[in-house]
Amino acid sequence: MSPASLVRSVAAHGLPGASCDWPDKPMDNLTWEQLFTAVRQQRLAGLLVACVADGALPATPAQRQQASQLHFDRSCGVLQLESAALSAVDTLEAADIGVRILKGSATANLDYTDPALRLFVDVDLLVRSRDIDAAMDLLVRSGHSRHAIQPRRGFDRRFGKGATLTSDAGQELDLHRTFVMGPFGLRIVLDDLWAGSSSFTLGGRKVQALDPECRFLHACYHTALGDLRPRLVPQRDIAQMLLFGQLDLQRVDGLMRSWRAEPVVARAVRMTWESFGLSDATALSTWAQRYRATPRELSDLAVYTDPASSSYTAMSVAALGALPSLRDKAAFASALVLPRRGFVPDDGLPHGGRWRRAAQTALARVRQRP
Amino acid sequence: MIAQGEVLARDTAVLWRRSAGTLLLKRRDCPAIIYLDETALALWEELDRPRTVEELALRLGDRYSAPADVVLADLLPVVDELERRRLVNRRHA
Repeated sequence: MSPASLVRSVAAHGLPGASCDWPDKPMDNLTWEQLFTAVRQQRLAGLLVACVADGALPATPAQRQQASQLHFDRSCGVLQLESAALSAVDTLEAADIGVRILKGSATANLDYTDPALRLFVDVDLLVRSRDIDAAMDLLVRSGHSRHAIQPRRGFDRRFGKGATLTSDAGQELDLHRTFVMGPFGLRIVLDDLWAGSSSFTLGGRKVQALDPECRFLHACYHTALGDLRPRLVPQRDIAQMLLFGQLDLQRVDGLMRSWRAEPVVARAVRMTWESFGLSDATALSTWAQRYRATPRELSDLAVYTDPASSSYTAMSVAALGALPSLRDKAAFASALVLPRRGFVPDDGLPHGGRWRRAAQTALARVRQRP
Repeated sequence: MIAQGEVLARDTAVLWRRSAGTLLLKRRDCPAIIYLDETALALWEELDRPRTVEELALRLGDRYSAPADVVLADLLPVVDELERRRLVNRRHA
Protein backbone atom coordinates (compact mmCIF):
# COMPACT_ATOMS: atom_id res chain seq x y z
CA MET A 1 0.00 0.00 0.00
CA SER A 2 1.90 3.04 -1.25
CA PRO A 3 1.52 6.61 0.01
CA ALA A 4 0.23 7.54 -3.47
CA SER A 5 -2.51 4.91 -3.24
CA LEU A 6 -3.35 5.96 0.33
CA VAL A 7 -3.63 9.65 -0.51
CA ARG A 8 -5.95 8.81 -3.44
CA SER A 9 -8.08 6.80 -1.02
CA VAL A 10 -8.23 9.82 1.31
CA ALA A 11 -9.33 12.03 -1.59
CA ALA A 12 -11.98 9.49 -2.59
CA HIS A 13 -13.37 8.93 0.92
CA GLY A 14 -17.15 8.91 0.87
CA LEU A 15 -17.54 8.60 -2.92
CA PRO A 16 -19.86 5.73 -3.85
CA GLY A 17 -18.12 3.06 -5.88
CA ALA A 18 -14.62 4.39 -5.13
CA SER A 19 -11.81 1.89 -4.92
CA CYS A 20 -10.18 2.72 -1.58
CA ASP A 21 -7.08 1.03 -0.26
CA TRP A 22 -7.09 1.06 3.54
CA PRO A 23 -4.73 -0.66 5.96
CA ASP A 24 -6.33 -2.84 8.61
CA LYS A 25 -4.26 -1.36 11.43
CA PRO A 26 -2.47 1.96 12.08
CA MET A 27 0.49 2.62 9.81
CA ASP A 28 4.07 2.69 10.98
CA ASN A 29 5.41 6.19 11.53
CA LEU A 30 7.38 6.35 8.29
CA THR A 31 4.39 5.46 6.12
CA TRP A 32 2.17 7.82 8.10
CA GLU A 33 4.65 10.69 7.62
CA GLN A 34 4.73 10.02 3.87
CA LEU A 35 0.92 10.03 3.74
CA PHE A 36 0.73 13.13 5.93
CA THR A 37 3.16 15.01 3.68
CA ALA A 38 1.13 14.06 0.61
CA VAL A 39 -2.13 15.10 2.31
CA ARG A 40 -0.60 18.45 3.22
CA GLN A 41 0.65 19.03 -0.34
CA GLN A 42 -2.71 18.02 -1.82
CA ARG A 43 -4.68 20.10 0.73
CA LEU A 44 -6.75 17.11 1.83
CA ALA A 45 -6.72 17.66 5.60
CA GLY A 46 -10.53 17.82 5.74
CA LEU A 47 -10.94 14.41 4.15
CA LEU A 48 -8.07 12.95 6.19
CA VAL A 49 -9.75 13.78 9.50
CA ALA A 50 -13.02 12.42 8.10
CA CYS A 51 -11.33 9.12 7.15
CA VAL A 52 -9.89 8.80 10.63
CA ALA A 53 -13.09 9.88 12.42
CA ASP A 54 -15.21 7.48 10.34
CA GLY A 55 -12.89 4.57 11.13
CA ALA A 56 -11.90 4.01 7.50
CA LEU A 57 -8.26 4.82 8.23
CA PRO A 58 -6.95 3.29 11.47
CA ALA A 59 -4.72 5.72 13.32
CA THR A 60 -2.81 5.89 16.58
CA PRO A 61 -3.79 8.67 19.03
CA ALA A 62 -0.68 10.63 17.99
CA GLN A 63 -1.54 10.29 14.28
CA ARG A 64 -5.13 11.30 14.96
CA GLN A 65 -3.93 14.36 16.88
CA GLN A 66 -1.54 15.32 14.07
CA ALA A 67 -4.35 15.11 11.50
CA SER A 68 -6.66 17.18 13.73
CA GLN A 69 -3.99 19.82 14.27
CA LEU A 70 -3.39 20.15 10.52
CA HIS A 71 -7.12 20.54 9.90
CA PHE A 72 -7.38 23.11 12.70
CA ASP A 73 -4.49 25.16 11.28
CA ARG A 74 -5.87 25.03 7.73
CA SER A 75 -9.38 25.88 8.91
CA CYS A 76 -8.06 29.01 10.62
CA GLY A 77 -6.51 29.96 7.29
CA VAL A 78 -9.84 29.36 5.53
CA LEU A 79 -11.64 31.77 7.87
CA GLN A 80 -9.05 34.47 7.14
CA LEU A 81 -9.49 33.88 3.41
CA GLU A 82 -13.28 34.04 3.58
CA SER A 83 -13.02 37.28 5.51
CA ALA A 84 -10.70 38.65 2.82
CA ALA A 85 -13.06 37.43 0.10
CA LEU A 86 -15.99 39.23 1.71
CA SER A 87 -13.99 42.46 1.94
CA ALA A 88 -13.09 42.23 -1.74
CA VAL A 89 -16.71 41.43 -2.70
CA ASP A 90 -17.92 44.41 -0.63
CA THR A 91 -15.40 46.70 -2.36
CA LEU A 92 -16.41 45.58 -5.85
CA GLU A 93 -20.16 45.46 -5.32
CA ALA A 94 -20.12 48.91 -3.73
CA ALA A 95 -18.84 50.12 -7.13
CA ASP A 96 -21.60 48.17 -8.95
CA ILE A 97 -19.16 45.55 -10.21
CA GLY A 98 -20.76 42.13 -10.35
CA VAL A 99 -18.65 39.39 -8.81
CA ARG A 100 -18.81 35.62 -8.41
CA ILE A 101 -16.81 33.66 -5.85
CA LEU A 102 -15.04 30.81 -7.65
CA LYS A 103 -13.73 27.41 -6.46
CA GLY A 104 -12.67 27.16 -2.80
CA SER A 105 -15.29 28.81 -0.64
CA ALA A 106 -18.07 28.42 -3.23
CA THR A 107 -17.43 24.71 -3.77
CA ALA A 108 -17.02 24.03 -0.05
CA ASN A 109 -20.31 25.69 0.84
CA LEU A 110 -22.40 24.60 -2.15
CA ASP A 111 -21.13 21.16 -3.18
CA TYR A 112 -20.07 19.50 0.08
CA THR A 113 -22.47 18.58 2.89
CA ASP A 114 -19.86 19.81 5.38
CA PRO A 115 -17.66 22.73 4.25
CA ALA A 116 -15.02 21.52 6.71
CA LEU A 117 -14.18 18.72 4.25
CA ARG A 118 -13.06 21.11 1.53
CA LEU A 119 -10.14 23.39 2.35
CA PHE A 120 -8.50 26.00 0.15
CA VAL A 121 -5.53 28.34 0.19
CA ASP A 122 -6.57 31.36 -1.83
CA VAL A 123 -9.51 33.43 -2.98
CA ASP A 124 -10.72 33.34 -6.59
CA LEU A 125 -13.17 35.92 -7.85
CA LEU A 126 -14.72 36.35 -11.30
CA VAL A 127 -15.69 39.70 -12.80
CA ARG A 128 -16.87 40.61 -16.29
CA SER A 129 -14.29 41.51 -18.91
CA ARG A 130 -15.53 45.09 -19.12
CA ASP A 131 -15.03 45.49 -15.34
CA ILE A 132 -11.63 43.88 -14.87
CA ASP A 133 -9.53 47.03 -15.16
CA ALA A 134 -11.78 48.94 -12.75
CA ALA A 135 -11.88 45.96 -10.38
CA MET A 136 -8.11 45.71 -10.40
CA ASP A 137 -7.74 49.45 -9.69
CA LEU A 138 -10.24 49.27 -6.82
CA LEU A 139 -8.52 46.30 -5.19
CA VAL A 140 -5.10 47.92 -5.52
CA ARG A 141 -6.47 51.11 -3.92
CA SER A 142 -7.95 49.03 -1.09
CA GLY A 143 -4.53 47.68 -0.18
CA HIS A 144 -3.86 44.80 -2.59
CA SER A 145 -0.72 44.61 -4.68
CA ARG A 146 -0.63 43.14 -8.16
CA HIS A 147 2.01 40.51 -8.93
CA ALA A 148 2.60 41.39 -12.58
CA ILE A 149 1.46 44.21 -14.82
CA GLN A 150 -0.42 43.48 -18.01
CA PRO A 151 1.62 43.65 -21.25
CA ARG A 152 -0.45 46.61 -22.43
CA ARG A 153 -3.45 48.42 -21.02
CA GLY A 154 -6.53 46.53 -22.16
CA PHE A 155 -4.78 43.16 -22.50
CA ASP A 156 -6.47 41.72 -19.39
CA ARG A 157 -9.90 42.85 -20.59
CA ARG A 158 -9.53 41.37 -24.08
CA PHE A 159 -7.23 38.37 -23.75
CA GLY A 160 -6.08 37.62 -20.23
CA LYS A 161 -7.28 35.10 -17.67
CA GLY A 162 -6.95 37.74 -14.98
CA ALA A 163 -4.29 38.54 -12.46
CA THR A 164 -3.04 37.60 -9.03
CA LEU A 165 -3.02 40.09 -6.20
CA THR A 166 -1.89 39.90 -2.61
CA SER A 167 -3.80 41.58 0.21
CA ASP A 168 -2.01 43.68 2.79
CA ALA A 169 -2.50 40.72 5.16
CA GLY A 170 -0.68 38.42 2.75
CA GLN A 171 -3.64 36.51 1.31
CA GLU A 172 -3.56 35.64 -2.38
CA LEU A 173 -6.51 36.78 -4.47
CA ASP A 174 -6.89 35.65 -8.08
CA LEU A 175 -9.12 37.98 -10.05
CA HIS A 176 -10.47 36.24 -13.15
CA ARG A 177 -12.39 37.17 -16.22
CA THR A 178 -12.17 33.59 -17.58
CA PHE A 179 -11.13 30.21 -16.21
CA VAL A 180 -7.68 29.72 -17.75
CA MET A 181 -5.27 31.55 -20.00
CA GLY A 182 -4.58 30.41 -23.55
CA PRO A 183 -6.81 28.83 -26.18
CA PHE A 184 -9.29 27.04 -23.92
CA GLY A 185 -9.85 30.16 -21.82
CA LEU A 186 -10.39 32.31 -24.89
CA ARG A 187 -13.05 29.96 -26.27
CA ILE A 188 -15.30 30.17 -23.23
CA VAL A 189 -18.41 32.22 -24.01
CA LEU A 190 -18.04 34.48 -21.01
CA ASP A 191 -21.68 35.66 -21.04
CA ASP A 192 -22.61 32.04 -20.18
CA LEU A 193 -20.85 32.44 -16.83
CA TRP A 194 -23.20 35.30 -15.93
CA ALA A 195 -26.45 33.80 -17.19
CA GLY A 196 -27.23 32.22 -13.82
CA SER A 197 -25.79 31.94 -10.33
CA SER A 198 -25.95 30.10 -7.03
CA SER A 199 -25.95 31.94 -3.74
CA PHE A 200 -24.69 31.02 -0.30
CA THR A 201 -24.27 32.81 2.99
CA LEU A 202 -20.91 33.82 4.29
CA GLY A 203 -20.61 35.77 7.53
CA GLY A 204 -24.31 36.60 7.38
CA ARG A 205 -23.96 38.02 3.88
CA LYS A 206 -25.45 36.50 0.75
CA VAL A 207 -22.77 36.06 -1.91
CA GLN A 208 -22.91 34.74 -5.47
CA ALA A 209 -21.13 31.85 -7.12
CA LEU A 210 -21.40 30.28 -10.56
CA ASP A 211 -24.42 28.12 -11.25
CA PRO A 212 -23.91 24.35 -10.74
CA GLU A 213 -23.14 23.53 -14.37
CA CYS A 214 -20.54 26.29 -14.72
CA ARG A 215 -19.00 25.30 -11.37
CA PHE A 216 -18.68 21.76 -12.66
CA LEU A 217 -17.07 22.93 -15.90
CA HIS A 218 -14.68 25.14 -13.94
CA ALA A 219 -13.65 22.11 -11.88
CA CYS A 220 -12.98 20.29 -15.17
CA TYR A 221 -10.80 23.14 -16.46
CA HIS A 222 -8.94 23.24 -13.16
CA THR A 223 -8.35 19.49 -13.19
CA ALA A 224 -7.43 19.13 -16.86
CA LEU A 225 -5.46 22.32 -17.36
CA GLY A 226 -4.62 23.87 -14.00
CA ASP A 227 -1.42 22.05 -13.06
CA LEU A 228 1.20 20.02 -14.89
CA ARG A 229 0.68 17.38 -12.18
CA PRO A 230 -3.11 17.35 -11.73
CA ARG A 231 -4.21 17.78 -8.14
CA LEU A 232 -6.66 15.54 -6.36
CA VAL A 233 -8.90 18.24 -4.85
CA PRO A 234 -10.44 19.44 -8.15
CA GLN A 235 -10.89 15.79 -9.16
CA ARG A 236 -12.75 15.21 -5.91
CA ASP A 237 -14.87 18.28 -6.72
CA ILE A 238 -15.78 16.76 -10.11
CA ALA A 239 -16.79 13.44 -8.55
CA GLN A 240 -18.66 15.21 -5.75
CA MET A 241 -20.67 17.30 -8.21
CA LEU A 242 -21.39 14.43 -10.62
CA LEU A 243 -22.27 11.82 -8.01
CA PHE A 244 -24.05 13.98 -5.41
CA GLY A 245 -25.10 17.11 -7.27
CA GLN A 246 -28.14 17.87 -9.38
CA LEU A 247 -26.43 18.84 -12.61
CA ASP A 248 -28.43 19.55 -15.74
CA LEU A 249 -26.29 17.35 -17.98
CA GLN A 250 -28.01 18.64 -21.08
CA ARG A 251 -26.89 22.14 -20.16
CA VAL A 252 -23.38 20.88 -19.38
CA ASP A 253 -23.30 19.30 -22.84
CA GLY A 254 -24.52 22.48 -24.53
CA LEU A 255 -22.00 24.71 -22.77
CA MET A 256 -19.17 22.26 -23.38
CA ARG A 257 -19.84 22.17 -27.11
CA SER A 258 -20.35 25.91 -27.36
CA TRP A 259 -16.98 26.47 -25.63
CA ARG A 260 -15.29 23.66 -27.63
CA ALA A 261 -14.34 22.23 -24.26
CA GLU A 262 -14.94 18.56 -25.04
CA PRO A 263 -11.26 17.57 -24.73
CA VAL A 264 -11.01 19.43 -21.41
CA VAL A 265 -14.09 17.80 -19.88
CA ALA A 266 -13.22 14.36 -21.25
CA ARG A 267 -9.68 14.52 -19.85
CA ALA A 268 -10.89 15.79 -16.47
CA VAL A 269 -13.68 13.25 -15.99
CA ARG A 270 -11.60 10.34 -17.29
CA MET A 271 -8.74 11.33 -14.95
CA THR A 272 -11.13 11.58 -12.00
CA TRP A 273 -12.69 8.17 -12.62
CA GLU A 274 -9.25 6.58 -13.02
CA SER A 275 -7.72 8.31 -9.99
CA PHE A 276 -10.46 7.13 -7.66
CA GLY A 277 -11.20 3.79 -9.32
CA LEU A 278 -14.88 4.73 -9.51
CA SER A 279 -17.06 1.84 -10.57
CA ASP A 280 -20.29 3.85 -10.85
CA ALA A 281 -20.61 4.92 -14.47
CA THR A 282 -22.55 8.03 -15.37
CA ALA A 283 -23.54 9.18 -18.85
CA LEU A 284 -20.73 11.73 -18.74
CA SER A 285 -18.07 9.33 -17.47
CA THR A 286 -19.03 6.83 -20.18
CA TRP A 287 -18.80 9.56 -22.83
CA ALA A 288 -15.43 10.72 -21.43
CA GLN A 289 -13.95 7.22 -21.65
CA ARG A 290 -14.91 7.00 -25.31
CA TYR A 291 -13.95 10.52 -26.37
CA ARG A 292 -11.01 10.81 -28.76
CA ALA A 293 -9.47 14.25 -29.15
CA THR A 294 -8.55 15.54 -32.60
CA PRO A 295 -4.90 16.32 -33.38
CA ARG A 296 -5.64 20.03 -33.03
CA GLU A 297 -7.28 19.48 -29.64
CA LEU A 298 -4.33 17.37 -28.50
CA SER A 299 -1.98 20.12 -29.59
CA ASP A 300 -3.96 22.70 -27.61
CA LEU A 301 -4.06 20.44 -24.56
CA ALA A 302 -0.31 19.91 -24.72
CA VAL A 303 0.49 23.56 -24.01
CA TYR A 304 -1.16 23.05 -20.62
CA THR A 305 -0.23 19.46 -19.84
CA ASP A 306 3.03 18.46 -21.51
CA PRO A 307 6.17 19.77 -19.75
CA ALA A 308 8.04 19.62 -23.05
CA SER A 309 5.40 21.73 -24.82
CA SER A 310 4.13 24.05 -22.12
CA SER A 311 5.65 27.50 -21.88
CA TYR A 312 4.37 31.03 -21.97
CA THR A 313 5.52 31.20 -25.60
CA ALA A 314 3.69 28.03 -26.62
CA MET A 315 0.58 29.13 -24.72
CA SER A 316 0.64 32.49 -26.49
CA VAL A 317 1.06 30.98 -29.94
CA ALA A 318 -1.78 28.53 -29.27
CA ALA A 319 -3.93 31.38 -28.00
CA LEU A 320 -3.47 33.17 -31.32
CA GLY A 321 -5.20 30.27 -33.03
CA ALA A 322 -8.20 30.66 -30.74
CA LEU A 323 -8.75 34.35 -31.35
CA PRO A 324 -11.67 34.96 -33.71
CA SER A 325 -10.44 37.85 -35.84
CA LEU A 326 -7.23 39.02 -37.49
CA ARG A 327 -7.57 42.30 -35.62
CA ASP A 328 -7.61 40.42 -32.30
CA LYS A 329 -4.66 38.27 -33.35
CA ALA A 330 -2.63 41.33 -34.35
CA ALA A 331 -3.46 43.16 -31.12
CA PHE A 332 -2.60 40.09 -29.03
CA ALA A 333 0.70 39.45 -30.77
CA SER A 334 1.68 43.13 -30.74
CA ALA A 335 1.09 43.35 -27.01
CA LEU A 336 3.45 40.45 -26.38
CA VAL A 337 6.09 41.47 -28.90
CA LEU A 338 6.11 45.09 -27.77
CA PRO A 339 4.89 45.10 -24.20
CA ARG A 340 5.17 48.08 -21.96
CA ARG A 341 8.23 48.49 -19.77
CA GLY A 342 8.29 46.27 -16.73
CA PHE A 343 6.19 43.44 -18.16
CA VAL A 344 7.67 39.99 -17.52
CA PRO A 345 5.83 36.93 -18.86
CA ASP A 346 5.09 34.03 -16.54
CA ASP A 347 8.12 32.00 -17.63
CA GLY A 348 10.35 34.71 -16.18
CA LEU A 349 12.13 35.59 -19.38
CA PRO A 350 12.64 39.36 -19.56
CA HIS A 351 11.71 41.64 -22.39
CA GLY A 352 13.24 39.87 -25.42
CA GLY A 353 14.23 36.21 -25.53
CA ARG A 354 12.75 33.04 -26.91
CA TRP A 355 9.10 33.96 -26.24
CA ARG A 356 9.48 37.25 -28.05
CA ARG A 357 11.00 35.61 -31.14
CA ALA A 358 8.18 33.05 -31.20
CA ALA A 359 5.56 35.78 -30.85
CA GLN A 360 7.28 37.76 -33.58
CA THR A 361 7.12 34.69 -35.81
CA ALA A 362 3.45 34.29 -35.03
CA LEU A 363 2.80 37.97 -35.75
CA ALA A 364 4.59 37.63 -39.07
CA ARG A 365 2.32 34.69 -39.93
CA VAL A 366 -0.75 36.79 -39.10
CA ARG A 367 0.44 39.66 -41.30
CA GLN A 368 1.13 37.27 -44.22
CA ARG A 369 -2.40 35.86 -44.32
CA PRO A 370 -4.49 37.24 -47.18
CA MET B 1 -26.73 37.53 31.91
CA ILE B 2 -29.36 36.51 29.40
CA ALA B 3 -32.90 36.56 30.75
CA GLN B 4 -35.74 34.14 30.35
CA GLY B 5 -37.56 34.50 27.06
CA GLU B 6 -34.82 36.48 25.35
CA VAL B 7 -33.90 35.28 21.90
CA LEU B 8 -30.32 34.49 21.04
CA ALA B 9 -28.91 34.62 17.50
CA ARG B 10 -25.54 34.28 15.79
CA ASP B 11 -24.02 37.63 15.01
CA THR B 12 -24.19 38.08 11.26
CA ALA B 13 -20.62 39.37 11.03
CA VAL B 14 -19.19 36.03 12.15
CA LEU B 15 -17.51 33.44 9.92
CA TRP B 16 -17.17 29.97 11.39
CA ARG B 17 -15.95 26.44 10.82
CA ARG B 18 -15.94 23.24 12.84
CA SER B 19 -12.70 21.35 13.23
CA ALA B 20 -12.36 18.10 15.20
CA GLY B 21 -14.96 19.00 17.80
CA THR B 22 -13.77 22.60 18.07
CA LEU B 23 -15.69 25.67 16.98
CA LEU B 24 -13.58 28.23 15.11
CA LEU B 25 -15.00 31.73 14.79
CA LYS B 26 -13.83 34.98 13.27
CA ARG B 27 -15.58 38.30 13.29
CA ARG B 28 -15.18 40.13 9.98
CA ASP B 29 -13.95 43.26 11.75
CA CYS B 30 -11.36 41.49 13.88
CA PRO B 31 -8.24 39.58 12.75
CA ALA B 32 -8.26 37.07 15.61
CA ILE B 33 -9.65 33.55 15.33
CA ILE B 34 -11.50 32.37 18.43
CA TYR B 35 -11.74 28.69 19.16
CA LEU B 36 -14.20 27.19 21.59
CA ASP B 37 -14.93 23.71 22.84
CA GLU B 38 -17.56 21.11 22.04
CA THR B 39 -20.20 22.68 24.28
CA ALA B 40 -19.96 25.95 22.41
CA LEU B 41 -19.95 24.06 19.09
CA ALA B 42 -23.14 22.24 20.04
CA LEU B 43 -24.75 25.50 21.08
CA TRP B 44 -23.62 27.22 17.88
CA GLU B 45 -25.05 24.42 15.73
CA GLU B 46 -28.42 24.77 17.48
CA LEU B 47 -28.35 28.48 16.67
CA ASP B 48 -28.92 27.75 13.00
CA ARG B 49 -31.85 30.05 13.59
CA PRO B 50 -32.62 32.42 16.50
CA ARG B 51 -33.84 30.61 19.61
CA THR B 52 -34.66 31.37 23.24
CA VAL B 53 -32.21 30.05 25.77
CA GLU B 54 -34.92 27.73 27.13
CA GLU B 55 -35.42 26.25 23.67
CA LEU B 56 -31.68 25.77 23.37
CA ALA B 57 -31.57 23.97 26.70
CA LEU B 58 -34.38 21.63 25.62
CA ARG B 59 -32.75 20.84 22.29
CA LEU B 60 -29.32 20.26 23.81
CA GLY B 61 -30.90 18.21 26.57
CA ASP B 62 -32.45 15.95 23.93
CA ARG B 63 -29.17 15.76 22.08
CA TYR B 64 -27.16 14.73 25.11
CA SER B 65 -29.94 12.95 27.06
CA ALA B 66 -29.61 15.40 29.96
CA PRO B 67 -32.26 17.30 31.95
CA ALA B 68 -32.99 20.71 30.46
CA ASP B 69 -32.50 22.54 33.78
CA VAL B 70 -29.01 21.03 34.16
CA VAL B 71 -28.16 21.95 30.57
CA LEU B 72 -29.46 25.47 31.12
CA ALA B 73 -27.20 26.01 34.12
CA ASP B 74 -24.20 24.88 32.06
CA LEU B 75 -25.28 26.91 29.07
CA LEU B 76 -25.62 30.35 30.60
CA PRO B 77 -21.88 31.01 31.15
CA VAL B 78 -21.18 29.84 27.57
CA VAL B 79 -23.83 32.20 26.23
CA ASP B 80 -22.37 35.06 28.27
CA GLU B 81 -18.90 34.36 26.88
CA LEU B 82 -20.18 34.26 23.30
CA GLU B 83 -22.00 37.51 23.85
CA ARG B 84 -18.97 39.15 25.47
CA ARG B 85 -16.96 38.29 22.36
CA ARG B 86 -19.75 39.69 20.12
CA LEU B 87 -20.32 36.33 18.50
CA VAL B 88 -23.99 36.17 19.43
CA ASN B 89 -26.51 38.83 20.27
CA ARG B 90 -29.83 38.82 21.98
CA ARG B 91 -33.18 40.44 21.57
CA HIS B 92 -36.51 40.22 23.28
CA ALA B 93 -38.89 37.57 21.93
